Amino acid sequence: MSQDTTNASNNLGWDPIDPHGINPHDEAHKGHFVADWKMQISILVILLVFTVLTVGFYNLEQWAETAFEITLPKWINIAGAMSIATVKAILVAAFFMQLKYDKVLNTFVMLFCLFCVALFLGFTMIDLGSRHLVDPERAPPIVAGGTGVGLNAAPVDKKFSLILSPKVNTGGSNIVYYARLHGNEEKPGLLYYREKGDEASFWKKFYGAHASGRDELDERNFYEQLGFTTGTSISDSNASHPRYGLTPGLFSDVDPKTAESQDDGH
Amino acid sequence: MTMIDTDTSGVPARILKSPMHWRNAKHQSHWRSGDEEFDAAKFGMWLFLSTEVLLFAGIFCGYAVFRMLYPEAWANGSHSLDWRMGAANTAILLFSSWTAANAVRLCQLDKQFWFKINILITILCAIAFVAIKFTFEYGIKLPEGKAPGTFFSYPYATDPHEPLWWSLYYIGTGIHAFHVIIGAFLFAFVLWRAHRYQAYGPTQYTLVENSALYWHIVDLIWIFLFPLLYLIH
Amino acid sequence: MSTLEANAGHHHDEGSYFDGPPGMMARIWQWSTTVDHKKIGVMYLVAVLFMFFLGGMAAIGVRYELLDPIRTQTTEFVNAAGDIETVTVTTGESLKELMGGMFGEGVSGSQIYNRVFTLHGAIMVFMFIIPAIPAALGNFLLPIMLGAKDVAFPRLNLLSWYIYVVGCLFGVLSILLGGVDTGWTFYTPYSTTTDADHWRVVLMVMAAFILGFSSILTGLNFVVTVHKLRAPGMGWFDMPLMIWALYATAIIQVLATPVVGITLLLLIFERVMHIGIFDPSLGGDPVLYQHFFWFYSHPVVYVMILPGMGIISEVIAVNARKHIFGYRAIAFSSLGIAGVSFLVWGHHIFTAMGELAAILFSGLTFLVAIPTAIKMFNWVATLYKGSIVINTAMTYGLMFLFTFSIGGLTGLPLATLATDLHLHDSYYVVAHFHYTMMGGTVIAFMAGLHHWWPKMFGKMYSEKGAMLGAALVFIGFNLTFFTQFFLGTQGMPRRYANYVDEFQTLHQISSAGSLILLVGFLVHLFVFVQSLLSGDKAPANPWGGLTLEWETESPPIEHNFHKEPILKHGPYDFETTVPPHWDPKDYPLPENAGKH
Repeated sequence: MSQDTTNASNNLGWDPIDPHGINPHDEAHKGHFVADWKMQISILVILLVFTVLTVGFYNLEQWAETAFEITLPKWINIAGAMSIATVKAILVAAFFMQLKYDKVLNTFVMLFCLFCVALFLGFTMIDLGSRHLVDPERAPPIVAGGTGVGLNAAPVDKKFSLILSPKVNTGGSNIVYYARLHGNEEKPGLLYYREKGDEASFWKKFYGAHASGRDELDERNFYEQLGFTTGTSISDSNASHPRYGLTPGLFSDVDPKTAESQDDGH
Repeated sequence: MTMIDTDTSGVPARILKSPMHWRNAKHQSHWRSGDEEFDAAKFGMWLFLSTEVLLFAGIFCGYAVFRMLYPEAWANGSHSLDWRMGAANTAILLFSSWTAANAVRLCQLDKQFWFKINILITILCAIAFVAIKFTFEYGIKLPEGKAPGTFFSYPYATDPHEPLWWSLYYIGTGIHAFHVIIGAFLFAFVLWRAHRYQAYGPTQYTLVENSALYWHIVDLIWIFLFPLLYLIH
Repeated sequence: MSTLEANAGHHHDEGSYFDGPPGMMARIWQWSTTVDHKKIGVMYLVAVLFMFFLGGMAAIGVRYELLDPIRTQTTEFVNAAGDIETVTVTTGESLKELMGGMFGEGVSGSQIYNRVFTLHGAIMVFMFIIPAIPAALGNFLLPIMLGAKDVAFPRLNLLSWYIYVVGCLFGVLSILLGGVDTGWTFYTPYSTTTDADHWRVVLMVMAAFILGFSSILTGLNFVVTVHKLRAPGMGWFDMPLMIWALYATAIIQVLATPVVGITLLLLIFERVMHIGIFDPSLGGDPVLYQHFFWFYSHPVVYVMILPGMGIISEVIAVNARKHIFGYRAIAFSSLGIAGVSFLVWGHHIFTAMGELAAILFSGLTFLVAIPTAIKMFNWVATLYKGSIVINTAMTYGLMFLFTFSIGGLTGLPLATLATDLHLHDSYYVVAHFHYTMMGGTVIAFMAGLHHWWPKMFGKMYSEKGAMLGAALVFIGFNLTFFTQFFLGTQGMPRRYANYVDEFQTLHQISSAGSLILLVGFLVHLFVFVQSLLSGDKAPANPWGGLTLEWETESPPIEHNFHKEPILKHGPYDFETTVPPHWDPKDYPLPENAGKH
């Protein structure tokens, strides 16, 4: 109603002092906040500087590790990256999203939402991270995840199938292990190189890419032949990360050898 | 206080008389005023943004849990990503966030031309972001076999849980890229209406404001995804 | 003085919201494009009641199958040619005999049973009970009770109805293709491996995903409406308790539903692409799925019950003709329940999770009892020395106090870790949650439907017929589910088509109860249809309520009020206020009314 009267009495069609026509005499109404362009551009610059900072920190760490073999503790890496991200997020929320100048209610909504996120993450991690704490003897050494045991049967394919994934049949082995043997068109696996009689070049790439120890598929010990001599352990891909607490008993035909090797893991 | 340019001389009468034009827009009848309608729309948008954050909470939760369980797979995975692409995308999103905020400001000041230019830049940034993601990241990783779950066929992986890392990587960045695309369409709609009717101005910029808020939350989520995926090892 | 009297002269200006253009197609077009919250509420009501019917038929199917256990007998005999022949006879596969053809060849009786109970669960939870009170009754009542013309975002409101319908269509399509047997919770790894050759499961999961959107949009709309559209003079503590309950519900809807969105999305990816997040063979964890799922689905239990509690607050206060006892306590306990609801999801996973987390969740779960009990005590205290009118709504209200107390108290043994190990996944759990969901929410829904039916449709219904229906529902409900407490403590596991002979008597009593329940609801349906066709015209305020919806006509006019109402009395000031447009001659009170 007040809108109509405002429109009628004003030849502009709207009231510049009270653009929404809520109540021209309302002292509380101060119009909407219009951001200052200098402030906005300085926020952008700060955000970009922080991005450079976090990337620089990451590269510094990498460089220290490769050049001087200085390994910083993990938490420094996490705390550094995440605190920079948090500062950036607060800047975006406060200035670009104008929470600083907006109604407190909107900030409250976001904070309450973040509280829920924290609950969600916190309690889920308490469960998955503490299953062996109270009663380690509760179950026999629990099977580590990622054994690939469930992958020994490809899903049935019929007319209506929506199954998009490849019909992988690893024969019950781990998928990473399977991929190492078979590879793909761009990156052929070990079997391809063996057929070609050029196993060495596969292991050269393999050890060059990642591994710190000899792989169990490396039967002819290319690990030493190629001069990768630090460490001699043969990693067991099925047991490299034994964990208590992943859901037990889903697949009963687990290799007992794998199950035993859980004990000396952690 | 808003300083508004009241000069309408350059605007064709067809646009000025259109009911879509921002000077002619009226609030819906169940609101007491346009200001309350604007506040309510913004509050509703913030509630919606909180649902977006909680949607991504699922991804972050999966990330945190499996990182806790398989730290080495996560370290290997993050080393396999190219931080330069991530950093470039971060810069693009931050810049587009700035142009989106600028667009709101210019709309409030009724500077139609620069308002539209800023919206356009934001859309172009969205396209650049998605293009980098698809060509220089997915397009390189997928043929190598660095793929989620059973698609995985990269022969040089060592940790048995690396496929899981790739699952979370593709789903997290994929859903995020999907949001970027939605945001681009939203801005394209705003741009079209702004161009066709001059639908947004000092008293009528709810959709501009809310699209910008949406865009900022997409940016916010990337601000966290970037270090989590590319930098932490 | 009320708004309506002040504007008596304007009665002809605006017709009821039911009035529309002549012609069938024009009416259909008007309703399908309406942004009027009342029409949308009625459309929700129709859709939700249809889904209730479907889910109810599935429930009857479940009870039919459980009438007798499945037994296979093999007998050998010598046939006419002198050869020994073996004949295998299977008895008790009742559903297969009845409707086996619907599910195709080679599907066993137990498989059919699995599909039928999944349909019952999925339909009742996602398509009936979550939208029932907030979306149907809430949509109709929330703006009127606040004195507003409409919800904050009317077009969004219509959109959420369409999304709801699309979600239901996905669910129904999945049923028509043969149904899903995962259980409504879609637990992995079963839901990622069952029916591997078919897309029914994906359709059903998509249905739940889409329905989640509808739920979010409704919740978002309600939160903003409550914040921004209260009538002048209506402070937070002048709102009816129904609004408090709907507000708390809406907060949960907004904050919990997106998590199930991502969960179901991950489940679909897991099922069609084997991404491995929930698959142990790739390193994932199925229990993580349960965390994800229950982070939504436990709070959603309170989405189901909280609005029911709001209805009970209204119905009891109006029909006891007394100011509600402990207004603020009830209001804050609604928010308290909403808050606590996010802390207790782990009690669904006690048997699968680590002890530390289980102990934490067990302790937190007991907290839920506090705000719930606060409400219970306050309602009982409201009844004390009230001038109680027994009509159908009040009968259902009192029924709620009885059945929901049983439902709530039987939850405590389930929150205790040691007893939960025994009772987990047994019929005790089934009975417990039916006493809270059916004995709580559905009973409250019926109370609300009877309380506001005259307001929504402008017609009175047969009180006698409705009372008969209520009596049948009460008897049938208790027969069906009280027996299940015994079955559960004796060891009958849930989700089984078969059982040992000792359980048969109790199962048959339960099945008989479900039939009585069905008859009760059919009586209600008959009463409602009769009311629509030939009911008396309802007065504006048949029960003498004080909340704002009773100030406008029955059914309300297009814009709810002739003039924006200004609040002059609280929603429960029965001692000091004469209810608007209330003629006790038509619907008289007991003699002691008003004498406290």
